[in-house]
Amino acid sequence: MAERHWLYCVTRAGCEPPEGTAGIGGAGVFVVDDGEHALWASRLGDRSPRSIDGVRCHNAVVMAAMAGGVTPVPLRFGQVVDAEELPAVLEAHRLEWRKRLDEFAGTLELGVRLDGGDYRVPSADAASGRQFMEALLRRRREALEAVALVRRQVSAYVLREHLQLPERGRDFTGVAHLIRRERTEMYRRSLDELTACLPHFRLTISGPWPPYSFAA
Amino acid sequence: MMAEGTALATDQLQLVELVNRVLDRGAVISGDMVISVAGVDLVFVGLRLVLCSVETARAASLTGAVDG
Repeated sequence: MAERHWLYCVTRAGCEPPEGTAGIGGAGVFVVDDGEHALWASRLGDRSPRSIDGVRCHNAVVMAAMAGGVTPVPLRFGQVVDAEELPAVLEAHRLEWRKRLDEFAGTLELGVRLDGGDYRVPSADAASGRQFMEALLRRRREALEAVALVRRQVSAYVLREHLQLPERGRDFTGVAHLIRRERTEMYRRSLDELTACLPHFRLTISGPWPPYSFAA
Repeated sequence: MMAEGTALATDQLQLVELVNRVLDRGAVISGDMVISVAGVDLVFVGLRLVLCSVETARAASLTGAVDG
């Protein structure tokens, strides 16, 4: 049976994992390099990625690529290929890697999440159908107004954005922003100033992240 | 105000944000597989996260499409 490899991210050729970088199950992370790009991978063997620690580990490896000021193309969790397919992964997506690495150079991702609202949506059991629907609409309207405020506040720093609006199964509003690294603190300060304008929401800034939201 | 007792702690929120990104975003190459997070099996079909458990997928006869 062919040896399986877990994939983490793609960088420009010459970018190596820091010594001792451990991947899923503690396996050492190595790169496959085609002269232009480098694919970060580790042997999967019989190790199982089936845990939240696997998610943390995957991200930690991608963050290790970020440590040297590099911004990789992060790969989605759960991608495994046979050893002989590793060079083909680089070759088949060469133009995509080039485009994304050019776009991501000197950038990182930050996330803003808005939870809350100044009312509670009555439970479907307790409220009339009309009350319930009105509350849902009010909640959605408030969330849209709040996220619009956030987007205006930081628009000067944003290169790209990825919006998550409230929908069935998600009662928060979020937005991911791709920004230049050197603007991180200005971005954070700008949002700190905004907090007082959103007393009914909890505003949480997350990151910096590898640009997961812009790599797909 | 936010409802008391329902707000996630900051570290929990950061974890939710992490899982959201790592599982559902990022560049996609190819392949299918099954993973589980926090003890709940999730099914990837064509690397699109399907929000159902493995048991639900089995019931829906989807298991032939995944590789554990």
